[in-house]
Amino acid sequence: MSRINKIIKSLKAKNVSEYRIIETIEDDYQQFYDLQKLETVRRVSTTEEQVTIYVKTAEDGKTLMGEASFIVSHEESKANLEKLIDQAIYEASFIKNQEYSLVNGDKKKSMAYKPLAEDPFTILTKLAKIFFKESNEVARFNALELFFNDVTTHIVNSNGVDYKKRTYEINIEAIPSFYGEGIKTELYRMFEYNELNYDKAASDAKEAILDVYNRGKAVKLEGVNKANIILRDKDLFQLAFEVIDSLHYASVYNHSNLKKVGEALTSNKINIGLDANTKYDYFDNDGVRLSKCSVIEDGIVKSYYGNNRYACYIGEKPTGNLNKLTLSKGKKSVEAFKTKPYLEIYDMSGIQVDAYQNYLGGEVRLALYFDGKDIIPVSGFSFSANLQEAIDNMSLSKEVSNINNYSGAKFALIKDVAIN
Amino acid sequence: MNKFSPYLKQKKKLLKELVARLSEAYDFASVLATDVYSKNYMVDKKISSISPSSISEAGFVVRVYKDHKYYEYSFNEIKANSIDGIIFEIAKMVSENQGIEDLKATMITEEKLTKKFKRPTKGALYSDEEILAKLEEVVKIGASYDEAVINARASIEFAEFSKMYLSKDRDLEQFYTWINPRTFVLVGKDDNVKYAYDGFGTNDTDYAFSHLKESIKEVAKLALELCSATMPTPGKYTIITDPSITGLIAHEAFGHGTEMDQFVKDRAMGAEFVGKRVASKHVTMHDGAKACVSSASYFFDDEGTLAQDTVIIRKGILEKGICDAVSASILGVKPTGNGRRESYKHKAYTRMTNTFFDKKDKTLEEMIASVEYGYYIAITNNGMEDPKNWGIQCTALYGREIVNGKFSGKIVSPVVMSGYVIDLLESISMVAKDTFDIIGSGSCGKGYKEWVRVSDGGASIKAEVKIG
Repeated sequence: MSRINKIIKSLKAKNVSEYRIIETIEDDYQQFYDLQKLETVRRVSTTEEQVTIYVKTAEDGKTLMGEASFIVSHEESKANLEKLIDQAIYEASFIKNQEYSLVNGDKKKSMAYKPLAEDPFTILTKLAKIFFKESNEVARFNALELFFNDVTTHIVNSNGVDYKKRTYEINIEAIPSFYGEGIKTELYRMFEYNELNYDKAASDAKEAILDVYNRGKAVKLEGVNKANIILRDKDLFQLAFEVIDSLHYASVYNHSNLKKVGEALTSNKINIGLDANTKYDYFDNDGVRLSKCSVIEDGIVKSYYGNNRYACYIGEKPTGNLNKLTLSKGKKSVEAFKTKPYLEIYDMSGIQVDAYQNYLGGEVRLALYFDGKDIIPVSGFSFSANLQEAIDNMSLSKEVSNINNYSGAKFALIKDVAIN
Repeated sequence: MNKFSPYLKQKKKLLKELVARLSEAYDFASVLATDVYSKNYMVDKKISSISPSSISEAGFVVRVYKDHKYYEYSFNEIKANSIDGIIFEIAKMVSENQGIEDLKATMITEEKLTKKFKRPTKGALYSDEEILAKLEEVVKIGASYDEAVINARASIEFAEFSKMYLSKDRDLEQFYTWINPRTFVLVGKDDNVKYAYDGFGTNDTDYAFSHLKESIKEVAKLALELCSATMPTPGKYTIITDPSITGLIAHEAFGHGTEMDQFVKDRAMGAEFVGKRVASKHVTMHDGAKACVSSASYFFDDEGTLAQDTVIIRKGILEKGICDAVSASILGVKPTGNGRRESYKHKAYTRMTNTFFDKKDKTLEEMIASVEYGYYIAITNNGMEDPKNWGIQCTALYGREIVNGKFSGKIVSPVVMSGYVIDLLESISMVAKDTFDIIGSGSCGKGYKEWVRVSDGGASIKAEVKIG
């Protein structure tokens, strides 16, 4: 009998009528290189279940609902499993939240990625070689960590949900490093792929080496107090994500949403949406079947988004937890943004976006500065802006980017930003 | 439970057998077994919950050394009949990674040691029902503080850590606990929606609950104040820090910068500055699981090295870095008890524990009075390291304007500080003598991953920094 079935049997024996089980099987392969030489190899092989029990109670004529979870990290005896269930029933009985319905299941479904032609360690070794091939006399990868994560997620609930998916992702943390005359410098890069593509990896590696070369040549930006800045895809993802963060059903339920449906988030006619990362990501951890969701249309809040529980609380349809952000593209090419002096931001310590404090900014580690005549790599400065004004005046490029969790304009121009 | 994991005790015999068999096949073999039982209780104006917190785990990680490389296998099931399978998987991994140029890593050496350690929770142990009732009381205080309060939240995380490290020469067990109480208040006033938060750590339940009540009042008061906050004008300012911001600066400036696994990868400028001045003479900085009792205070690390108190900077001179066991073996130095894993599923890296600046000789009042124009910067939001280039970015929730040695009543938010680490540390001209908390309610990543619980703090400092 499978572990899930054993758990269901114990739940039924304890008269638990509402439950959800998420089983996660991880099969991960990892290589760690220092100075382009292998230091450590790792494997992860685990199975665990997260079990959530729902208990309904009546109070003042109202039905209330509590829930409590526990994790099964190894095969438990029947007696131990029943103890864990008893404890969860006890905990849930003290939680008196608004009642909601668990997701109803469709037909039982299972999807898995098409088997790859090579085994994971062979793939990681090849990817490492691809990265190291881009090294040269002055630039190399001082650290390279490669992860092949094969994850099977199986979700079952008491309302007939029984979905399974097997996905993989390849993550590469790369530290391109530059050695020049009297200068040693580096950048941080994290590449996330949900499809194996050696050519894409080669192009990312090449770009990383070029970026760190530029950082090695970068000079301190002096005498610039205001500038037009060009943000690139990874920072645009973060910016758009933070801008719609307060439109989650949970925020609406807690009255912490900054805008309401129908209100203008910005005077800019942009669109922001959410989607599943791949076709294999067809359900979330509640069992909600995932599909595209439009959050902002022409700058107006079109809909909120979020998981099943908070959707039920506010009487909306659950969109599920969607991991990919989509942003509209613009009409102009990035080249049109570059006709006047600009700072194109390549690398930041971490873009700072706070919709509640209306702030956008951060420290820049690498940018290309066009002073009207030359393009110069620059470093060692910060920018800051009023977030609302920045979004209202932002121009998106017609060039698009498709990276792991983002699809949309590759560049955005924000004018007259304070530089420090 | 408040005692060492019965599950790990039950598995000890099998794990010892596994290590013995691996030690026959490999030059070095060890296993770390973990059982972290952690529950998070949360109450706000509308909902409450009890759930396992993200640090909950139970599993094992084997490490072996062969042909100048380390191999690790993480798993969470061991039975008498599964040992052969585990040994087979490790052998398969070793054979599948032959022929790749390696670092010629040297092998870890260990001294013989058998020991058990214990630091249980202090104070009364409460039932789930009692904990929720206490949190509800706290939330009521926050929610009724002002009519502008939209939501008030109080949570408390109880964590019990059981870890066992076994190798040919070591047999270590430790049990310790930690409690993380947190508060959050959201307010809406004059078309502004603002929030404030607080977090602290303790292993005393009574202190946790009594302090939560004070915390939520302070947080509500601050959230209301933030409704009138403006953005600071970008520029260079004199700042006085609260202990959390001192800690954030210590952490980002020379915590990450002296993690010696970065020395192995030629990723840290600190390697070239050992024995040299890197900060003003007022700065003495520590890191260590044994340096104080806070969220990262354990007895041995995830590689079986005993906890220490490392003085990283003494009176402005960079004395030494912190180091995990593998990096120490490669660099030919002794490990400092800083080998930590996000979980048994992750690699061990050199990681900070409790990082802080020592106190010195000024009162906070003297320090504020000495500022002609500047800000008192408070409450950590986030930070980012840059160990190779010594850049630094630290974000604080707010700053209070100081004009001619007095608070003007003006508040700015958020405050993003950045600059060159050495410039910042050398500009430190005063350090407070007040006792400070080393707060550990947050997590620290290495780059953008590998999250571990850390604490940091320090006496208030006066420094010059770029804001905005």
